[in-house]
Amino acid sequence: MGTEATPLAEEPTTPRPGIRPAKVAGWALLCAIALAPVVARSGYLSSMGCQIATSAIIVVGLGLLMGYAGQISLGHAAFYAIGAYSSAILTTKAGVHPLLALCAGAAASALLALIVGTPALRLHGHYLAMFTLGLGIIVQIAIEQGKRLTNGFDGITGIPALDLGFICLDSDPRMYGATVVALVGCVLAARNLVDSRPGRALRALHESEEAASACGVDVARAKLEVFVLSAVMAAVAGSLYAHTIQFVSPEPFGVQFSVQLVVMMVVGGSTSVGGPVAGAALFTLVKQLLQDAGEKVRWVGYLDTVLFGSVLVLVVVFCPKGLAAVRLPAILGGRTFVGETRGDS
Amino acid sequence: MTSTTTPRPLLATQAVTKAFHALVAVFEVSIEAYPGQILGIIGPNGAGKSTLFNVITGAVPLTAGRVLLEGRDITGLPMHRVARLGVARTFQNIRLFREMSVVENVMVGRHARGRSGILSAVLRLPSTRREDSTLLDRAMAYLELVGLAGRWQQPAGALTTGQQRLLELARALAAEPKVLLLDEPAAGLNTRETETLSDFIQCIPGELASSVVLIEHDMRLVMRASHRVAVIDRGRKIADGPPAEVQEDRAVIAAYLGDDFLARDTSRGRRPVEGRP
Amino acid sequence: MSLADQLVQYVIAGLSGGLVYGLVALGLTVIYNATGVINFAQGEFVMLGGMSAVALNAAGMPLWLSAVLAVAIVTAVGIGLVRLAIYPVRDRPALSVIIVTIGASLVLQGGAKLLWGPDAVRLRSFSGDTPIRLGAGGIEPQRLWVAGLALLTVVAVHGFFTWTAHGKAMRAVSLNRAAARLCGINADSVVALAFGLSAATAALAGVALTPVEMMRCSQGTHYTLAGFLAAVVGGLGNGFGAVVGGLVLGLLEALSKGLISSGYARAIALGVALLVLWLRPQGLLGRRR
Ligand SMILES: Nc1ncnc2c1ncn2[C@@H]1O[C@H](COP(=O)(O)OP(=O)(O)OP(=O)(O)O)[C@@H](O)[C@H]1O
Ligand SMILES: [Mg+2]
Repeated sequence: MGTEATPLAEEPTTPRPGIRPAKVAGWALLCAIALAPVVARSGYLSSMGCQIATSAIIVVGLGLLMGYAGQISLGHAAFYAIGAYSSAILTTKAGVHPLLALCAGAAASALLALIVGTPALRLHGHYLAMFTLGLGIIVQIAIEQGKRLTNGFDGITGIPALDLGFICLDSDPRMYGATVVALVGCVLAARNLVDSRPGRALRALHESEEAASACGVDVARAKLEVFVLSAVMAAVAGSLYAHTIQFVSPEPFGVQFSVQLVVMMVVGGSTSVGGPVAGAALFTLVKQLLQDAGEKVRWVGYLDTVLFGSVLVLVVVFCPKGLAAVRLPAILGGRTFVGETRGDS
Repeated sequence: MTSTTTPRPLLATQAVTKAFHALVAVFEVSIEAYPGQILGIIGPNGAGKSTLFNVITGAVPLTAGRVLLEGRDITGLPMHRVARLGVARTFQNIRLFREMSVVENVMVGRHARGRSGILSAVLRLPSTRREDSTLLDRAMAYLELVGLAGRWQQPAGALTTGQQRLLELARALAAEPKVLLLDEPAAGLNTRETETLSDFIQCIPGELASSVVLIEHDMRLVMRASHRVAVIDRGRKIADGPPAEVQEDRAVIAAYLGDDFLARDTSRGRRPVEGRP
Repeated sequence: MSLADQLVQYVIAGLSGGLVYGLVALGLTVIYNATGVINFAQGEFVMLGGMSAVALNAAGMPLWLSAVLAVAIVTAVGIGLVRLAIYPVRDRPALSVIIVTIGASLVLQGGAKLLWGPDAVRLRSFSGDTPIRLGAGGIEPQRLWVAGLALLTVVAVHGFFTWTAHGKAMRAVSLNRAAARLCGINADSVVALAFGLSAATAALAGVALTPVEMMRCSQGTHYTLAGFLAAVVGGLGNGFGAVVGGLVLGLLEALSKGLISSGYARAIALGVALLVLWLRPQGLLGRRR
C-alpha cells in the first residue's frame, strides 16, 4: 500500500546500535568506578563510590519520571530522607531488622508519593515541581523540628551495619558493593520498564497525551505509577546511605540536594542507561573537587552553585537530551525493544 | 439501501450538543452507526465533525446529550475508558508517537488488550515476556495489513504523510475496536493512495472492526464506501440516509454540495461492496 | 502584653510579610501571563535586591541610592535572563523552560554566594529602629515601610496595566499571542518587559525586607515557592488573587509563628497552601478550568 513506491535504500534511517563514544565512556566510567575501591583498597574511594552510586540510584528513578513521564520533581531529597530516617529511627530506636526498616522506608515513601501524586500529577509540569518543592521543604523542617524522633540538627548516631544474614556489610567497601548491586538492579529495572507495556505507554503519553488516551492509556495513573516507583528508588538509596555513614542529620536532605539531583539527571540525560550514572558520577566528583579546593582557596569552594546552574542551562539549550545522548537522535536510538526480542522470538 | 431489519445501533449519539463558550460547534446531533456498516459524515470546514468525534471519545466534555455504545451510556467517561470499551480513532492532524518505532506505535495501540503492570514489567516476569512477544507478532500482522511491515523499526516521525496515515489506521485497528472512528484518513494522500485506502476501508466492517464512522472530504471515497451518510452543517445534522438519497437532498445541495458536484457525480452513486450481503 | 496586643502585632507582621509574598506572586503572574512560564528564579530577584543593596550601602553609598541602584541592577539582571536563557528555549516544551529557569536561579544564587559569601546580612532600617508604640507593644517602623512600599508597587503595577500602552500591549499578549503579533505588538519585547517589571518589583520587596528579615543567598527558593503558592491560592494568572494569596500566606505564617511554634511556622503555612493546591488546583478565587 504505497510503501513500495519508496526505494529500499532509504531503509537504514533507523539509528543503528553502533558504537557511540558517549555510551562507551559511560560504561567505562561505570566499570572504573565499580572497580576502583577494590583495586585501590581505599576508604576514600569507597565512600566516594558510595555517594555516586547512591545518587545514581535516585537519578535513575528521576530519569524515568522526567525523561519518560515528562514530569519534574524538586522534592526527591524528601523521599531520600524518608528512607534514611526510617532506617535510622527503626533500627536504633525500635530494634527493627535493617532490611525490614528499608522496606518500611520504601513503603512510607511510596505512600507519600501516592498521596501527593494523586491530584498533582494530573496537572501541568510546574504544579508538580512546586508541589514537590514545598513537600521537600516541609519534610526538611519536620526533620529539624521533630527532635524527639529525629534528634533535630544533632542527628541520629549508631545506626547498625546492614546484616544480610550471609554477610554483614560492616565496612565501606562491602557497603559500597551492596550499593552498586542495588544500582545495577535499579538500572535493569528501568531498562525493563522502558521496553514494556507500561513503559511504552509512558513514552507515548510523553509525546501526545491525547493520542495515548485514545489508545486506552490511563495517563494520570501511568504518571502516578512512575512517580511512586521513583520515590521508592530514592527511599532505598536513603536507607543504604544511612547504613553506609551510620549517621544521619538533616543537612544532606535539603532542597538543594533535590535540585542537584535534577542537575545530575539533566546533565547525564535520561535517554540511556549510562546517562544517570554518568551524571551522578560527574556531578559528585566535581562537587568533591571544588569542596577540597575550597579548603585552600575559599572562593573556589563557593563556585559550585554557579557552575551547576550554568551547566544546567547550557545543557538544556545545546544538548537537551543530556551528555550521554549527544549523538542520539531518537529517544531510544538504536536500542529498541523490538530490535532485541525480534531475534529470539 | 434501506435495511428493513435494522439491528440495534452499535454506537449512537442522542441530541449531542457541544458549545465552546459562545460558539456552538455541535447542536443536537444524533447519529447511529450499525454493525457491519460504514457511516459517512460529511460537511463543510468547521461544521463540527471532528468535535463530534472528540465528544464521542471523551476528549472534550459535552454540553448536553448522550453517547451510547451498544446501548450502554458512555457519556462523560474519560478517554481511556471509552477506548477500552471498544472505540478507536484516528486524528485529522496526525498524532503519532513520532520518536517511537513504527511497530511500537501499533503496540501502544493495542495497550488496552494487554495486562502486564508496572511491577511485572520491572521484573520482566516470564508472563510479561510471553505477552510482549505475542503482542509484537500481532502488531507486525497489522503492519503487514497496511503494508508498513518493511519499516517496522523506523521512528514513526520518519514516515511520509501517507504512510503516517496508514500507521495511525494500523494503530487504531490493533485495538480490535468495536467502532472505528476515522477522521479524514485520505487527507494528504494522492489519488492512487486514496483509491487503495478506499478499498481497504470497505473491508473493515465486520472483519477488523464491527463498524466504521468515516469523516471525509473526498466525496467519491465517502459515497463509494459508506452505507449511510450523515451531513452536518454549522453544527447541525441536515441530512442522514443512503448516499444516493443524500446526494439528491435539496438541503444538502443548497448547504454544501453545490450544483456542479451533482453534475459530475450522481452517476456513480454507491457501489455495492463485493463479497458482503 | 495582652493576647489582643500580641495578635495586632502578629497581624501587622503577617500583612507586611504577606505583601512581600504578594509582590513576588504578582511578578510571577505577570511573567506567567506574558509567557505561560513559571519563573523559578523569581525569588532570587528578592534575594539579589536585598543583598546588592547591602553591598552598595557597605561600599559607602547613601541608603536611598543603594536601594534605587539595587532595584536597577536586578531589573537589568531580569532582562538579561530573558535574553540569555529564556529566548533560546522559548519554543521548547514547558519542561525545558522550567529547567532553564531553575538553572538560572542556581546561577543567581551561586553568583550571590561567590560575591558576598554564604552568610546572612542585614541592611540599615530606613527610618531608625525605635518601635512605634501601639497599645502595650510596638511595631518596627521598617514593617510599615515594607507594607507601604509593597502597597504602592501593587497600585503602580495595576496602573501600568490599566493606563499605559505597554501595559495594554502586555495584557493583549497574555490573551492571545498570535493576534497581538498581528496587531503589531512585539511579543519578544513584551516578554522582556514582563521579566524586567517583575524583577524590579521583587527587588524592591527584597530591599525593603532586608532590614527586618536577614537576607542570605539561599533565601530565594523560599520566596519563589511562597510566591508561587500565593499565586496559585489566588488563582494562577489573576493579579489581584496573587496579592490576596500572598496576604493569606503571610498572615498564616505570622500567626502560626506567634501562636503555635516558631520552628514549624513556615511548614504550617506551606502545608496549608499545598493542601489548597491539592484540593483546589484552580485556587480559592479561580474558576475550574
Ligand atoms: N477546542 C476548541 N475550542 C474552541 N473552539 C473549537 C475547539 N475545537 C473546535 N472548535 C471550533 O468548533 C468548530 C467546529 O470545528 P471542527 O474541528 O469540529 O470542524 P470540522 O467539521 O472537523 O472541520 P474540518 O473539516 O475543517 O476538519 C470550529 O469553528 C472550531 O473553531
Ligand atoms: Mg475536522
